[in-house]
Amino acid sequence: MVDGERQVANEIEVSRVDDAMGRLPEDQRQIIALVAIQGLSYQAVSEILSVPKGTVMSRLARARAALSEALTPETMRTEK
Amino acid sequence: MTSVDEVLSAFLDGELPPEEMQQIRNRLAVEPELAARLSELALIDQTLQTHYGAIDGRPLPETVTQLLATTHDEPELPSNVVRFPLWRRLQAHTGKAIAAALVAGFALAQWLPLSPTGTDAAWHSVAQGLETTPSGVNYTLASGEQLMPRLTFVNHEGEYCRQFRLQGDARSSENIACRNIADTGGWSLAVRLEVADTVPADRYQVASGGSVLDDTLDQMISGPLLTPDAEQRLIQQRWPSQP
Repeated sequence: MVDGERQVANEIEVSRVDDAMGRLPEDQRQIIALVAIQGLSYQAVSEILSVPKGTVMSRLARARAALSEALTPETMRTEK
Repeated sequence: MTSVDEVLSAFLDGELPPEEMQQIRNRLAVEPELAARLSELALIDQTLQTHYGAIDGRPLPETVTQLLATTHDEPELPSNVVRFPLWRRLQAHTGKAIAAALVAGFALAQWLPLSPTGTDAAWHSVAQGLETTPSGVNYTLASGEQLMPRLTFVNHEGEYCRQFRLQGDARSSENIACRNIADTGGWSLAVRLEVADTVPADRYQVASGGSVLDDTLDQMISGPLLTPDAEQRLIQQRWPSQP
């Protein structure tokens, strides 16, 4: 793949991730950004957002599951 | 989303209590479907970190940067490797796990009902085999699968570790487990590699240099492999804590 093609592919991928993140409810998007991207602990997120740790845990899991559904090719998914 | 996702998600972040972290590690050793789901969830984090980390150009927190650097420094592995490069950190409850794994061979796997009791028993059986079986000798697990230790070594943490093969009717895997020093001396899974096709056990030589986990071994091992005599003594003495 030449540089130009790679750049286009990267942009498509970024757009795909943005779309998937954009479809998440705000409360889930906030939490997954803080934990998965910024690397904060559940305790820290719980304090920042003033929600119980259990809520952080469940929203985060829902966010990961939704993103997995959106971004993992259907043929690669684990059946549930 | 299932409660399984919730547990795996917290496992990925190292946010479960130590005993639950260990239970999940043990289950991952014997439940490929669980390992596959963990891989899917881990892949999401990697995707987010790759894209948003690159886009905003801001440095990631030092802990995440270190973890990513650790991953990048490692040699390329087959795509069906399930690695736990940070399992030590998880045990210590510091840092965040990135289980960098995509398990191609699991695409058609069924999502089986989870049975924690059965799983604990399955891992106990594996641990018992590791505890008592010399390298090159088959040990039959309670499930009927065959476990064959291949070699024994000491890792950089001073723990005894064993590479072993699990051979079932439909699938097989190469694994490395280490014997914890800190707690009661149980065996914990460090690395697992699903082997797509059933390979006769006799195609591998004990302590072979051609094993699929050689790169991983090179990173983990400290000193030479244990000789058969030394291994036999350890088994007889029930693995005394100091190598």
